[in-house]
Amino acid sequence: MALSKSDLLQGTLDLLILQTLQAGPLHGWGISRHIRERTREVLNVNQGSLYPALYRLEDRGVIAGSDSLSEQGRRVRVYRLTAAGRKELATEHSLWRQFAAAVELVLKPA
Amino acid sequence: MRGLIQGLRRRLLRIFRRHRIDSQLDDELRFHIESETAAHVARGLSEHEARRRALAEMGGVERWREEVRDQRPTHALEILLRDLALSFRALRRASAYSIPAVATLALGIAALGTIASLTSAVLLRPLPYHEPGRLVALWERNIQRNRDRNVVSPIVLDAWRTRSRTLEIVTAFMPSSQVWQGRGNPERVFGAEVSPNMFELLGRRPMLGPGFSPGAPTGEVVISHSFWTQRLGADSSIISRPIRLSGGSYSVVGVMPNDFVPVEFGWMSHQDFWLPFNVTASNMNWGRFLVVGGRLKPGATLDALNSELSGISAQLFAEKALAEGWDAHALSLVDEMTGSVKPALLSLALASLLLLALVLTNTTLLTLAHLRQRSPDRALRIALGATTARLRGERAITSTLLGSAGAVVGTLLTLLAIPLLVRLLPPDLPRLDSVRFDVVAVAAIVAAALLSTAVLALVPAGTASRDLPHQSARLTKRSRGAWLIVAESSLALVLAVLASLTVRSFDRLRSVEMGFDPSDLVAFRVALDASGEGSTTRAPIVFDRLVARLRALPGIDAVGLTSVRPFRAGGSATSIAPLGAGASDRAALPVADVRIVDRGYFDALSMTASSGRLFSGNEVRGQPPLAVVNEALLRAIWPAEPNAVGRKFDLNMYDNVPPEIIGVVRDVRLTSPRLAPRPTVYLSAAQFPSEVFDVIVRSAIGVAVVPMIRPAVTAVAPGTPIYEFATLGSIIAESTARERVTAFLLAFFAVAALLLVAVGVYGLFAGEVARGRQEIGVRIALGERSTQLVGSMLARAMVRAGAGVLIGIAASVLATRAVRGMLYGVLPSDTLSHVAAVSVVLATAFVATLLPAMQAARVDPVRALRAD
Repeated sequence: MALSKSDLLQGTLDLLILQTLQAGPLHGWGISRHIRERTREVLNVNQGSLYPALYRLEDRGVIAGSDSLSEQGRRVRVYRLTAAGRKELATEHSLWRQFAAAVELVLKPA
Repeated sequence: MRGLIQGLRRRLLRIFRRHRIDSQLDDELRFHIESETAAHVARGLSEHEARRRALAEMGGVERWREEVRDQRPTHALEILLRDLALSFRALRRASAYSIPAVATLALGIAALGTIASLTSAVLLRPLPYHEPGRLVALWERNIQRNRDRNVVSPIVLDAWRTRSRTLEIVTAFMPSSQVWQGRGNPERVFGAEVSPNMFELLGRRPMLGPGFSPGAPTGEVVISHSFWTQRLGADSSIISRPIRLSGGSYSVVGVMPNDFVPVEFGWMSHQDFWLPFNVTASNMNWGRFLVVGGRLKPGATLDALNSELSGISAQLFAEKALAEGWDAHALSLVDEMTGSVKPALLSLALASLLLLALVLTNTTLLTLAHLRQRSPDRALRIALGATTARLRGERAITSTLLGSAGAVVGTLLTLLAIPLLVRLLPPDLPRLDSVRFDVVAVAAIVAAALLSTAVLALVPAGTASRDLPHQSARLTKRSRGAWLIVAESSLALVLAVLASLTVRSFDRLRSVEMGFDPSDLVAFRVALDASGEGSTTRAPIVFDRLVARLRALPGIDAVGLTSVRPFRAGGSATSIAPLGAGASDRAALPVADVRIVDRGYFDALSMTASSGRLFSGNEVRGQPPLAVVNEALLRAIWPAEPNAVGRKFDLNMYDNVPPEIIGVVRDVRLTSPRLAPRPTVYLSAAQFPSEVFDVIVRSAIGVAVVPMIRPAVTAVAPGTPIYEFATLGSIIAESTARERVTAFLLAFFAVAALLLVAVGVYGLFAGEVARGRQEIGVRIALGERSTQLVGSMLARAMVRAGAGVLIGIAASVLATRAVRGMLYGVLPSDTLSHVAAVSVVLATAFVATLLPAMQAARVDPVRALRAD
């Protein structure tokens, strides 16, 4: 089962991007592939959501993009986590945990 | 904070790198698709299929590229910039609207900025002295004669100095003129004798030299910067060296800095040197001759000083040091120096505000017309989903652009107008040289621009936003511009009333009967060296020779001498009374001007004796004085008795020997064209010789006579300076220059106002006719005669203009209060001025309506009905 863009909870995509970049700088396609693989193809991030999200996060200063060259010699934009991003990731991380646990509590048969 | 600045910087960079960002995004997408394709190929798909699938997953690139942009918080700013560019282009296209709008705004803003600069320099800016708010001018006051600003006697000056507790410093001034013999011709230089504490009073020190020595210095002089540079070659070693003035030797103890402004009030005018004045036993009894300034102690008020001065006057009266009826008062120095121009400046400021209001009304009218013309366009945009907020936002931007453009052009016009205005204004206007584009002008212009922007943005939005597309304008419907026409007419009426009042006042002043014919008269002043040719025995002989020599010159018809020429300040005056009554209460007696004249004077001014005879030149010195008097003097002391020749009267002057009247001449204005002739006593120069005279020459060749005069004077008395050359016509013109300039400027404002009214009314009706062609066509087709059509339009216009005129008349009752103080011979309620103003405003509205009305009458019904 693949979830489409609209099924992604608001804010979840940001968390996923930040988490992905914690491992190291990556370009847009890399981020999308990483999320797809890690979710075993359950979450297929649409480019129409991914790139706007990347630009938004960059504007907020939590990630920073810089130009570099791909193996094929093509200009690619690589994103990395900033200090502010790391802090935000930690916060978002614990918030998500609380949220997921709360949802789990509701769903668990009494 | 740092993060905020960085964020802002990033956003701003984004706007300007928008293209780069778009291409960056393209790169990213291309890379994404290629990588995706490669991944699909790796999983075994064909190259073609892999690419197709990658593209399909991508979806509509354009759509979400827009989405990427939307993600960025810079969006609102970007829209603003885009809208600015759009509005700018729209305004450039609609030049028929934007050019007149900017031009009228600039006109109003420039008028305001120019008058604000002038008012600020003359009235608002502090005097260039230390703590100028504490400086005061002090006057004696004669209560019975209602003379508010009488010069001060040394006795009273001394009393103020020793008794006042509110004054820190009291300084006396008196004009002085000396002969400076430089390398070339001897010349007259003007300065002052001042109490040595004058520099302390003003808080200014010489830039060179120590200033007056303490105590009661004599033989010292402080000179102005221009005296130092122009006459002494800016020689720094001048300090303590002697210079010669009128034969005396003075040690230079100071040179004032270039920016020092001498105190000019009362009869104190331009000053290039300062000699010390000390109260001495001998000048203590000279009477009243001092102009006095003072500095209040910190914290002391003008009111406290004034009550203290009254107290001191009462003390002096009790001590019999002061005659009855004398009092004293003080006013702030800045009021003293600029009070005379206040009414004129306030009326100009009022006029410029009225003009700005008119400009705003007119621009509103223009904007309404413009919006109506564009209403199909608006309707289309509303249909396409543009929100009212968005349209209002656009109007706000357009208004800001127009307001800013008006401010920029207005500022440029102001910068051009200020030097022109300074040249136009009479040079005796106080502080004229400090008029410049200053912070007050900037504030006025910015305020006017903001106001224009607000009015343009709000008024049309309030009315035009209800202008829905399905409503079409109707000729019969009350037009929204109607109230604007009322407002315009009322504003224009007030300006026209102000202008016609001042113009009429100036006209009255100009056509005042002086009592003599000033044309062809040239005056100049000759001062002989008092130690040589000017001695009391030599001077009459020298002046006789000079007169004879001048009379012999071709083109000269008459030559006369007088102690003080007409309209020159500083003529002497004293009290007069019927014989024997002069010793009584002098303060209650009438005052007469006294002039020493020679036998040629009356001839030069074309004055003849109405009874008795004039001077022959054979009057004998030392004998009882003979006098020629004017009719006003007879009215003042012997109102009932017609025959005065042979009578004597009391004259409080020249040891009080009563003069005998030998002749009577008609009244002549001598002190100011504004003042009615006063009683005047003419005494003979043969009996009262002097080393200084004004020479008045009647010459058919006018000023061409001037080059011949100097050699004549040099031939008779070598080394004698002659100065103050002027034609009497120019003296009169100068003394009425303020009235002339004020009248001119107000007339300019009024003409601008009428033009604006004409444009506004024309624009409104022309617009109505253009939009109402169909209805006009129907009405003509149904048989309405064109005269009826024209008549109804004119009637509507005149009703509006008439309503405006009525409001304007009511408003001008208030506005004319501002000019009351400067009117001559015209009442603020002057009927003729009001009638003239009303007719010119109504006529303007009439003509401006007539043109579009005639157009309406020529509408061809067939074509008008077929139009859409």
